[in-house]
Amino acid sequence: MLRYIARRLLQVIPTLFGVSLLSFSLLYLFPGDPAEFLAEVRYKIEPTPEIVERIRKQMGFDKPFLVQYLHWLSNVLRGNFGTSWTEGKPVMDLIMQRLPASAELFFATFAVSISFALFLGIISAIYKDRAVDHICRIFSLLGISIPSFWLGLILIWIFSVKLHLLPAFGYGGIEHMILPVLTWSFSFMAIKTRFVRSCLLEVLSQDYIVTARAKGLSERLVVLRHALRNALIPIITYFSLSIHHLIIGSIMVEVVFSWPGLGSLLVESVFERDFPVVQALVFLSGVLFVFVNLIVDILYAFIDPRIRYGD
Amino acid sequence: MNRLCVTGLGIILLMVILGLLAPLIAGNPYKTDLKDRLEPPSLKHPFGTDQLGRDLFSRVLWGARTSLFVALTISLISMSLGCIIGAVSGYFGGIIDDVIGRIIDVFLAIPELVFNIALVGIFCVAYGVSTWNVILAVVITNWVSYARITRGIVLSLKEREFVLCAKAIGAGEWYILLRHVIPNSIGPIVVLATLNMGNVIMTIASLGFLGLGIQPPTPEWGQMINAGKDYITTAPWLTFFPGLFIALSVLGFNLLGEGLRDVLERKSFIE
Repeated sequence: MLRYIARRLLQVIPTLFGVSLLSFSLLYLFPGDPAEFLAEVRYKIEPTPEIVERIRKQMGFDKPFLVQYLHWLSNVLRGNFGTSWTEGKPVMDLIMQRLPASAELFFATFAVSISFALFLGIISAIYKDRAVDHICRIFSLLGISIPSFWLGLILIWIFSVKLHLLPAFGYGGIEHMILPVLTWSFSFMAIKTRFVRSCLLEVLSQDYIVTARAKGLSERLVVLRHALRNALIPIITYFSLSIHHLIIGSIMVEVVFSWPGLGSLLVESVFERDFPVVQALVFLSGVLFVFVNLIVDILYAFIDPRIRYGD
Repeated sequence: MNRLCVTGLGIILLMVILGLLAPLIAGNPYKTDLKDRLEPPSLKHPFGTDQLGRDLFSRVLWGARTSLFVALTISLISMSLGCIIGAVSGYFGGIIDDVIGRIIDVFLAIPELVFNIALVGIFCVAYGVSTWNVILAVVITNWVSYARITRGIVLSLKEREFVLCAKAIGAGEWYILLRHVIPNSIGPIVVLATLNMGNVIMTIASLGFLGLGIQPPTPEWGQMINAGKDYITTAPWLTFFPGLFIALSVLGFNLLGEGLRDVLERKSFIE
């Protein structure tokens, strides 16, 4: 087991390295002179040649790419993402400020969409090719096709503008969370429902299910006790790996509902050209994915010994 | 014929025809009329008018042109790029495959839209505002899925008998790649390309909504919703109609893609 974990850890290193290199090079795509930009935006001074030169020296923009990259990387490994260009605060502080709001929305959405996806997936597997199954399929196709930002605005129009039931935007109590979570879950659970259905159907076609049925077990017991348990492993993996969809969804939903999370921080930073923040967010989203992947793989190996001894 | 395919194809054709006929059936999407601002839908303006008094019906139809054309450009570029990279990587193997495999892993790790937003932001500052920024940024993230799928197919194809036979009679590496391997991997790639068209349309609309996409006055659905959302209390049609068209076109490609996949899976099952 330890050897397996060690091997997976080693495999992750090149990817993490690549992610860091890619996020760092974003700054290099920055046109013109970052030192000049800093002088104007952050220090609000006329960018005379000597001031620009001083900032360049101070920020290390005059050093070769590789030196700058290694300097950045060694800081990042210590949790220091540099200073925001526009706010002058450490990037990490800005991120930590926004993290709780994002996390709240994230966990609420995850919980809601998992419950719905499991429920609808099980129902459509049991009633395969019946009316309920077709309705679920249409529902999941709509979920991936309807833009979440549009759905959010339509919900705002119905529940805030017309019915005056819920606040249209802002951050605070439970009532502020309902619309964002609803919007976000709708698109997120769509694909998951189909996946739960196909996993369950695959398990249901196996021999031990036939045995269980032959023993005379009730259909309910067969599905919930025998089939679902075995289908759960791929389902859990799939849910964890769909973290990308969650991050992408968070950007759109947070912007629509003016939710003060990391998604809206990214968009604001792009508009304000605050590139250290953009860099950090790109990097962290990549790292998050790699680590979730790693943890899922290790857990999987714990549950299923075939993987440990596989290759 | 598969029902999903037919419905999907029907929706796509409808969108294409509306886009192509926009100059004939819709008016000028740029003509402003400040006397006619924020008019609700009527016979004269079927979808109402926007905050500058432009006819929303014309703008939505011309928007179909923009979205489909840009999405097609992005898909074609990233498909050719991704398929070639994936095929070369899978076919030649060795160190080329290791390096390309790692690069694919890195690109897969960063969520597409996060990377797109960062890139468009930088390109806008670097090269000024233009539609090419959006195309370039989306291509940079989009080729990866094609490369990954092609690589997987090629890896399994290259051990098949007919490729080994071709090798045995002395066919060259590139000849085998172009004549045997690529034509045989078309099926899954077509499915991916169809589903991907839907994704790309959604990405363009999302960037447009964030204010980072195709810029006004060019009519684009996401950007129209972005402008319309400020008038959601008084003029909800500004949000409603462009979004309906985004949803319909994405749905069309998803239906067609799922249908094609069903058909192909059944075919390979029979084989």
